[in-house]
Amino acid sequence: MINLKVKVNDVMGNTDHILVEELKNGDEGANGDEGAFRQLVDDYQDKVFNTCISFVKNADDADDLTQEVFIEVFKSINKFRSDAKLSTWIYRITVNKSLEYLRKMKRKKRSAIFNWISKEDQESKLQVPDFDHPGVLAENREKARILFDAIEKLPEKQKIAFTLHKLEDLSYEQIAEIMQKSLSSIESLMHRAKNNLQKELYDYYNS
Amino acid sequence: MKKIDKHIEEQVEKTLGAFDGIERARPKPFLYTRLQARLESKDEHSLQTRILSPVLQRLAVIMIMLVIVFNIYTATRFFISPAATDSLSNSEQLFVEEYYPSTPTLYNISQLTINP
Repeated sequence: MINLKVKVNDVMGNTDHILVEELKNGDEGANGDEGAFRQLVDDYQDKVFNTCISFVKNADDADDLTQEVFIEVFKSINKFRSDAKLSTWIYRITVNKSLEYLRKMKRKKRSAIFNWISKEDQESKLQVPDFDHPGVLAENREKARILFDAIEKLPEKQKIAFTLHKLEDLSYEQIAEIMQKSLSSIESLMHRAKNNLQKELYDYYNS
Repeated sequence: MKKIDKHIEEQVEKTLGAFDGIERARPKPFLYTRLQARLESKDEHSLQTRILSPVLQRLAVIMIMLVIVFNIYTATRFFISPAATDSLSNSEQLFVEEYYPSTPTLYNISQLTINP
């Protein structure tokens, strides 16, 4: 059993609501209130970091991306609609930033093929090492590594849904809100993701 | 054969359950402090780009305008008919005499035409 518990709010949580209002009407004008921002970072840093590291599979890059997510939150808090859930909005920014990073790395990888001069340098940056998620139980480490490799081969939307569900313990409803899709399409994505992973893993163990 | 298939199926199921009991990964300590430093450096950078560069742009435009105005002024003031120089002050006349002499100098002697 997964032991993460994410706060599920039907409407935006009271604490989140106060935080957003404080940030929007902060004493420092458009930049918002520092105390409220610190509180927001404290409340969400683990969720944001865990999501980032699950996608990018590198602690330093995940740390960097986590900071970028909060800078984005800080800058665009005035665009946030108060009737929406703060957690959904922050998760959406986090997923988008992580995917942006992965696309950037893919582009670098492609250009590295044609780049004769700095070939070795770029390739060394792009090779994804065997990744150990810090939260995985010791006895599951080897299998988790194989599963991470298999997830990497999934189509993007299946990867997002599976990662958010399995690594962030988000419900299908929450994932539907984050990905701005219907509940049935998330169910379908998850079903296809599991089938694809089973096939991939079967091939892996059969080879 | 069936035994091998069953073993593989077990392995696949175990691998799919590898995230069971997973705990959330946490960032390095003092994230807020690092974030604050980054925000400050970004603020400084944006201040430089938002405030300094328009100021520099305006200064550059003003400088160019001043140079153009000065050139037009000197051209109209000194490089006109000799009669106009009568109304100039002593120092201005000295300036005209030095830079626009009425008698040819060594510098423009080659430009003179020799009548046969």
